[in-house]
Amino acid sequence: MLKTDYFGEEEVTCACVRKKCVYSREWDYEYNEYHSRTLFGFDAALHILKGIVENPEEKNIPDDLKQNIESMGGPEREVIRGIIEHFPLKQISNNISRVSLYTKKGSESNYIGFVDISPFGISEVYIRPPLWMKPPLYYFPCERTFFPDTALRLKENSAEMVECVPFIKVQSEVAVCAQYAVRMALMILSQRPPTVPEIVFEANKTALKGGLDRHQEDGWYSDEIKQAIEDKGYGVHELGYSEFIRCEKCGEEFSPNPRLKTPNLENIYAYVESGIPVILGIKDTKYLPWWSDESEGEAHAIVAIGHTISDDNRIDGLIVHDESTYPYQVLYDVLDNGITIEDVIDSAIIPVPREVVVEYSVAKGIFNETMGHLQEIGILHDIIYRPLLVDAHHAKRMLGEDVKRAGIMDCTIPMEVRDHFLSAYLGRYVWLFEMRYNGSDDRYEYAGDILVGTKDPVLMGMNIPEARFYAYCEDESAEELTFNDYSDD
Amino acid sequence: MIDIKYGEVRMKMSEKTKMVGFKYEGHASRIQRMESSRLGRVEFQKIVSDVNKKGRKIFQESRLMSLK
Repeated sequence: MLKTDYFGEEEVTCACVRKKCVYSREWDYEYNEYHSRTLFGFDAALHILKGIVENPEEKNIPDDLKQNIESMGGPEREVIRGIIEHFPLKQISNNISRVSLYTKKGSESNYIGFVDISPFGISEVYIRPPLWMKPPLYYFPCERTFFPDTALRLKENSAEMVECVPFIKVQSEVAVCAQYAVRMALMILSQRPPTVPEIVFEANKTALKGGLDRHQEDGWYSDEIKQAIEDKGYGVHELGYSEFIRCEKCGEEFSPNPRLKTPNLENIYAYVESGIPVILGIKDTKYLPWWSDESEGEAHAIVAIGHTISDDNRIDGLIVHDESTYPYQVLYDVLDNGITIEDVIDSAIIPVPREVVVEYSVAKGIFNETMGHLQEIGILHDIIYRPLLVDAHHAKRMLGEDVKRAGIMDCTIPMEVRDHFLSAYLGRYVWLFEMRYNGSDDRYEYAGDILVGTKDPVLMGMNIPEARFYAYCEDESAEELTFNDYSDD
Repeated sequence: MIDIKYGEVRMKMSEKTKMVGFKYEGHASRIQRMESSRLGRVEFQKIVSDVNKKGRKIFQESRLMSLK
């Protein structure tokens, strides 16, 4: 028996009852002619599961799981085939608009999220990452706590929450990927993202602007994605490849610094690690390991929401949502066929707060220069740095309050330093480069912080315990940083 | 220390692996080992001034590429 939060038991068959529900009206059998239908997402997942059970050796799954499946006897396989065949959601009633998902271990059931179903199929999915996708090897800085929409809750005070990154499922059509990637990114950043009709309307409007003869299969171009994000009140940073710039006055061409805008792992990681989703333009879907080999390759857009960490503590990939296929997929920096992530990603578009004008690559350039000078005086060798875009409140908490930093053994910042950073001027946001030494035990040793402005490309402060000095900006009009030595106390 | 199976996670998580980053590989060839105390505030201000000048240059280049 199938249960839903809103409609109760599935056995209610009276059409009058169905029609009272506003959510069922749109896909009532009078429109669809059927009481139930097959949903692509569920159907595809069951199809994959069936394929794994029948031919585990052909599938790209972990070895231990492969061995477990191969060791199953005939009766066990038959049971699984039976479950797949009679899976309750294979044919889904038209009057169901939300399916809540639970896992059950003994008598204890665990809420893992919900799937909203629109007249066109699965729409929004709020579902926890796969069980195996946990720290320390997988991180989801874009993860938030979501409360399901109260309108669909049967009982009052039955608060549910899902710790996840929202996902939108669209039929496997590439043309709409950019619109839905934009919406997914805005869902992560904003409490009020544009609705599907709003974003579709916006897309139609921009695509038709000026009477352009545009092919139906062409999705949004990068300038249109940028415009859509800016219209929602965000600024945009962009990474991509460019061969040359032409001077508008004299027509002379020159090559820009290729490192500045390269959509490489570090340039993308800096934003993802700060909790900002990154819309990735993929050159061709044939490079994506989770796309079927039979599909014809096309350009595509996906959203980076997290990153992976290798056994030797290296950032070695991105976790992405792909609206045309699946959520929580991993795009490693080097794929099985030797292709690197830079070969796969053509461009990256990043929605940022409007006040953040200085891009990560510029902040990194300033950090590099500063480090060069500091290393000349014999300090900060072999450090590991972690870039973060944080608001001033967060930066002041890290530098001005006695907060413990994850993974760092001892981050005791002297009281006088904390006091000065609490009253320092940082601007609304700041690029914070946290530096660490790789200690011999299981924790890092704090090596200091370097702060770079987001409004102007300038140093906003630094704390260098090894050299026993710190620098901060006293106020907005200050022309120089104020340098102080640590006191001997 | 970490034993991960598909669909199941058993681990004793190291604090170290919680936070990662990138190893800095910088201007090591120009190192002149000297006591940091020998650098006065004037020198530090000069460093900041140099860095900011370079920062503005990169920023302009970056803006130019964004506006192309």
